[in-house]
Amino acid sequence: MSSGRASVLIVDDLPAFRRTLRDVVAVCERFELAGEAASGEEAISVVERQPVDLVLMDVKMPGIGGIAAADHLRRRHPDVVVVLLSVNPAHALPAGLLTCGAEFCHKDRFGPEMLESLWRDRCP
Amino acid sequence: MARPLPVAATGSPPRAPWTEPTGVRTFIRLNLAALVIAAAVLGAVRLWLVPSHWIDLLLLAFLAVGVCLARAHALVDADRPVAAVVLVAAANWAIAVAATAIAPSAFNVLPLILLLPSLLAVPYMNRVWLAALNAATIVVTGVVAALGRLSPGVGIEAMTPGWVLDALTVSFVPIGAGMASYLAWKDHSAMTAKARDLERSRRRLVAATDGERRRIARSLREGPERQLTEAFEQIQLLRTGRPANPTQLLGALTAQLQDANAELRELTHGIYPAQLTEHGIEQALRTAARLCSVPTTVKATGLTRYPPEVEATVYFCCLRALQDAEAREATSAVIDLTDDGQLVFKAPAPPPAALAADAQGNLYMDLADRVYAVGGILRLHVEADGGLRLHGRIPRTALHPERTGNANGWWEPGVTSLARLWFFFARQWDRAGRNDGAEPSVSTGIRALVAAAAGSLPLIAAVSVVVPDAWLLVLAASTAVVWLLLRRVLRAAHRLPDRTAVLAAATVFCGYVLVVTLLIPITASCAPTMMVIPVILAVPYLPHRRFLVTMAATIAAVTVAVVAGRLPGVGLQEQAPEWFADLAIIELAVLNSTLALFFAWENQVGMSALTRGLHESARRIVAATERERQRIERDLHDGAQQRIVAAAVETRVAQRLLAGQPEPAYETLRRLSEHVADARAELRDLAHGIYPSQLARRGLAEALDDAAKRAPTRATVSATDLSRHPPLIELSVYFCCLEALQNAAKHAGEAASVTITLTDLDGLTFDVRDTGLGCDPATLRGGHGLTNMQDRLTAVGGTLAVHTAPGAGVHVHGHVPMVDEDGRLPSAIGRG
Repeated sequence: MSSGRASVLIVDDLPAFRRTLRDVVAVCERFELAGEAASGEEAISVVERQPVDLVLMDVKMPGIGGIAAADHLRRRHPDVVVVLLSVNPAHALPAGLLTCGAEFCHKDRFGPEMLESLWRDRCP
Repeated sequence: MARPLPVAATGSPPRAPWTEPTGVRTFIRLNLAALVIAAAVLGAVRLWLVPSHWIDLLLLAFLAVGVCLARAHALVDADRPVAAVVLVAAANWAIAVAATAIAPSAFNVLPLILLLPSLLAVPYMNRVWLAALNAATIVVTGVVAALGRLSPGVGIEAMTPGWVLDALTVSFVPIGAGMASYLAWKDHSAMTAKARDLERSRRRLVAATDGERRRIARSLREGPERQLTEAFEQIQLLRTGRPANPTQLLGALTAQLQDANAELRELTHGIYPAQLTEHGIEQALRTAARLCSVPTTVKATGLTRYPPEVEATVYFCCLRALQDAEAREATSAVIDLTDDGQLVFKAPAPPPAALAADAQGNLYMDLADRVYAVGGILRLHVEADGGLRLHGRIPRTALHPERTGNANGWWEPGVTSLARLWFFFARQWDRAGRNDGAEPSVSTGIRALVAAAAGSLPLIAAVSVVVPDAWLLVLAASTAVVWLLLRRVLRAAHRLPDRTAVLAAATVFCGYVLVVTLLIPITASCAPTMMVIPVILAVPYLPHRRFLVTMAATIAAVTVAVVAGRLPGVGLQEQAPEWFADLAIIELAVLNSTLALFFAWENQVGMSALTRGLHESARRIVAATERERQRIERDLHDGAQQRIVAAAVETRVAQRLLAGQPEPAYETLRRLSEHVADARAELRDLAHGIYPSQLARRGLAEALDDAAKRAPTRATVSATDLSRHPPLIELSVYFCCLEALQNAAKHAGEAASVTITLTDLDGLTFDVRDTGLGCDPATLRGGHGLTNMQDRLTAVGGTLAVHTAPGAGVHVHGHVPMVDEDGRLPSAIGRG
């Protein structure tokens, strides 16, 4: 949070939705884009390399997927806030979703307000 | 106690007559009755004629057999007909051996009776079991014949008046002949019924699949696609109209996109829940149970992963049961899933009132068809507490087809030495009778009879060395005449109707047996089996009335032969040495029983090849349907759904931007409109691919014309004055042409063009020809495309042929015959 703004890493295998998330980050003054990744593995390597405050991550991706990546990040970097996003409701997702320590948000509820409120809750 | 689904008394259920082992039950009762009569006769003989303790012993053995038969009856009720048949067979074998050892003249009655369990087993056993049972029957027949001829007995026959023994033989043998003919007939009827039922079930399966497609396509068009169209109009208004309250409009838009997504999500979940693919039946059902308004318990024991078509079938069966429980506001529901080798699932059944109202028997028929197609069975089951439950069972062979091989193929059992011996016999038998896929042919059977007659000639020549008698010349001459007559019938077989040929052969053969019995009365013990052989051969070709006449004639002929066996004969047998006569009779008994069982086996193999083909095709249809549903689910999830949620997020971004900097907001609105337009186009294409709406409205030619325009290859459709056909047929032909078109696009090469020709001639004919590279016909096998086409078309009674050669393009030719006056589709199964 060097410039007083939280740096956000966007993780999704679909480029179109990464573009949308970029738009959301761009209109929120308290956030700046740290980078983008297309898989859980890639996200982990980005977080290892550079400081990231918040990760917006899709649940269903090729490779280890969002939940395992979130679990890994929470263990190795407990101060990074991870928000898992999915087009499916929480009950239709694997049980690990609730125990991996990440926030969950349904994709179609997401937007600038949601991003700010999630951040406020975790880092008041 | 299980019964077919739904309750049999409430109308015509999707009944599977062959799965109800009524034949076994009737036979066991008849067997018990015969046993009681035999015991009564024996008791009378014991009381008034032969006071011997050996008869007491025999009566005790009868009692033991009676207990075994009662146990077998219980096994039938417990749904284990194969075990019941084996028990009946073992009990009959034991009593036959015991009776012959005590009284060797019992051999006169027994060879035919020993055949009965094997004939009884035909519709219930697979090839392995049947082959093993046949082999064992032949061995036991040999043992009984050897005892009958060689054993001196215990001397009770010497105490019995001759007329009693004669009366017993003359009365019991025709009964055995009647039962053997009847069982052979029932076997064939049961297997024909099974094949017909499978054919109908497969057709319903295809129709249900089409109904489902129509429903999915309509839901997509009327739900999310319509909402997206409205959303798109609003976005255009925002972009060009500069409305006064853009924030409010954007808020409404967000809500609408959320609604569209929720609707799409529900639809996607209904098409194929993603959880089923990822985590299997148990997890998917637990989620379904959580979402259900009825408190539901899911109990699962020993479940693993299964082929997708099995998982989807079990899942959708349980889901339907849950949805119905929800609709009738049940207070609670329990779903039980157990895998202990076979997968058993139990779900709530509809209340009796609903079943009673279902006069057509349509309730759950589609599910029963699906379960049946994957190799299982779905029934209503009366539980211990008296309540009804939906009860599905999928056997091991259907759960892990790759591990157990084909259900009808060879399966290596555990290696106990008894099992080894059993399966050794089975394998030998199967090797001798291998006739893969071919329907039983009348010529094969007549050829076997010709061979039997021809084989007798050298035998008679050999006998003439031992017994030089003029009567042997008469025997040789009549054998030669029979041989010539049978050969004539064989030559004429392709011209004559099957039933005429087979009845002519049967008459000649029975006449021959009668002549032999008159000349050599000791062969009378073998005559009944010989006379039943042609009936078993004839059964598949006879209509019911003619069969009854044939059966009556056979019983009469057998009676005459048995009476002839009591006559003195011409003195031939007295001249032969004792050992020679014994050997000849034992050999004849074994050969006869082999021949009789071989014909029953031939019928079974032919029919089971037919039903196996139908079964595999039905399973492939279910598998293809599930693959398609999975694909639709994936396409929706990765395509339209992602675009809609992206659009919803963009509306919120736009809302924030509009508050401050309007210029970037227009860029966001442009992207938003792109997302919505893309999502709508994807939905429209997907719905069209699932079910082309113009097919029903404007017919096959126009729908295919439209598909040809979209195809990447140049394609033309020609059809003149094409009339309309039933939707099932039109859709099948449409998908086959589409598949052929796609294949051409993939394999024919860029320069190729395709012509589709549709003709109305005795039904509907289509020809898809491409001018492409073609290929070696041998490489056509494999792959889902062609098999799918074949399955779909044969399910509606049609045929498909593919002609190709390297450089000559590919020509796909399909034909569906006309439906008859009652609107019934043609069937491939008939009785001569």
